Amino acid sequence: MSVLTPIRHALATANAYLRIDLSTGRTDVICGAQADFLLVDIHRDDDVRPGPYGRYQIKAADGRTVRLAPLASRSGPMATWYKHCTLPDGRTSYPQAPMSGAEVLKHAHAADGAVHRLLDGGFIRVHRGRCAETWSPLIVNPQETS
Amino acid sequence: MTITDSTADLYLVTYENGTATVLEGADVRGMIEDATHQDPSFLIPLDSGAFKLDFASPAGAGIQFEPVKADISVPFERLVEMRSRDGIQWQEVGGVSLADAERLLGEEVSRCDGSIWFLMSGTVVVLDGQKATLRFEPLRETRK
Repeated sequence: MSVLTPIRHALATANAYLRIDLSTGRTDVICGAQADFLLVDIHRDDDVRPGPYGRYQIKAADGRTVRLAPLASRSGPMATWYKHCTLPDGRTSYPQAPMSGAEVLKHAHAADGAVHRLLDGGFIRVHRGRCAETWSPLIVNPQETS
Repeated sequence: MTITDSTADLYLVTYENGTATVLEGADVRGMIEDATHQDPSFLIPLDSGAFKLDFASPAGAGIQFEPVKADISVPFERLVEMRSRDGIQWQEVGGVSLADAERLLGEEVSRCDGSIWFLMSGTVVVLDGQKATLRFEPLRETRK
């Protein structure tokens, strides 16, 4: 099978996916066709596990664990507050003070690398092939609960 | 929200030093806005929806933006194989059929554990995470 031929039963249906190698921390974006090719043709069915929001986790035969998360359009509505984490080494996440939606957008505009929005409403910043920062939407207002 | 709602518009962005990455349409529009705000002549439109930001004018330099296609069809039968080590200097290897291009793309992407991108222009590109290493551009002239 090749990446260009029509797909029999597609697993990956989004246009683009964020690919995170949990063992090495390597993070990049791949197109939907390539994600589908990995899920359907490269890895065994038993190694592929679907998750929420159209995500997939691959536990490869060589011991690597790879996570695929579909990208959403950046232009959707923003949550009021976001939980903010930085990942200096690309793997360990350190929680930071919550940020408002407007602050996240402003930060995303100025930061190095590429900021992508995921289907769960969270944002992720990829810089030099590593995940550098994450923002996940908060249901409760941090100022009310503190 | 379903998976099919995902319609991120993406651009392949190639910087002057050969680094190539895929950016969201929102980021790209922000960069264009910032640059054209300084000087509208920085923006140079190219073929098939691609464009270039040229800050200083010794020609050739600048940031190039090529729109990524949502579907993965390649509407050309003959393609030109181009290879590069640094993402800047491209060497034309020769014309190949679509079937051969598919095989070479598969080999290259598994060699460098990279990603394949289908552009609006019909070009297919392999990124190795840092830069583009392989391009298949459509062969436009039809010789009989």
